[in-house]
Amino acid sequence: MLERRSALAAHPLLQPGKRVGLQPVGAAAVTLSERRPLTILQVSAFARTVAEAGIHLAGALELELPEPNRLCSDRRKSLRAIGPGVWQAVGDEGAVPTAAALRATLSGVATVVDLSHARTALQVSGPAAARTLAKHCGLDLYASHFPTGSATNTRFGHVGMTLARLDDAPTFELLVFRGYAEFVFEALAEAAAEFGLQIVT
Amino acid sequence: MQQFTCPYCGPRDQSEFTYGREATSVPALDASAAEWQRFVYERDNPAGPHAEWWHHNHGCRQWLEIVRDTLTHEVLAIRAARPPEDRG
Ligand SMILES: [Zn+2]
Repeated sequence: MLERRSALAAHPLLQPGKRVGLQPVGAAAVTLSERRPLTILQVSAFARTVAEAGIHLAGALELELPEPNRLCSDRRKSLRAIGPGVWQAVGDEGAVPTAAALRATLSGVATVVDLSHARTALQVSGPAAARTLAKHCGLDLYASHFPTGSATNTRFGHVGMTLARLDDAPTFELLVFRGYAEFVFEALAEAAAEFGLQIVT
Repeated sequence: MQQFTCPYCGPRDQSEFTYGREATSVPALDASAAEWQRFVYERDNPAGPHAEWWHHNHGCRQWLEIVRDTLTHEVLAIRAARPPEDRG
């Protein structure tokens, strides 16, 4: 088993308690952190086996099957519907089945690709989190349009990402290509600077 | 920015989509050179409704058929390219 190393491990901004920009009275309005280690499995059903794949996948994860562009979760894992017959299972290591185990469960009805090493998960949280993200994302991030439990593929600048709203803080989670992690992290830090930023390591 | 209402994702910026091609049928592999000539080079280029394939590559990643008015950019119809029996 290869050792998992964060794409941001050596980043100078990732020092404990680091703050950038204006210091608001009270808590920083935006908290930025990396969530790891995380298991990310992408499941794609074959054309004629979408319904069957969904049932088996939900069973394997012991979660409900989410509606399009929504997620279903418990404390340690979630299942996101991000396309027709396409889901992502995301969770703490050990909380999600291994790719091999899920592949066996879904044999003949879906493919399973392990993206754990290929993505960096960033969390943006706090009262100004939506305004921070809005500088780089064209989605309507208001709670009325993108409420807690939403999860979808969209864009961060020119980079594709899977964006989810995890809670009412609000906390947004961004899954981005590992190779873009530094760019996205720095762009978020700069976007949040005017609101007061705390980076949690 | 122009928005397309994806049947899976709802209204999204056009920048999430990539244009594929005119939504006409592809000639058979053994079709005549004249048929391939017409398919590859001779466009109708209508001033008005135009059926197009678009890929929602920064969204649900499915192909869509969009009927778009080339004069007004109005979207007259939008549907998933995959047949209904394959949509789960
Ligand atoms: Zn879509």
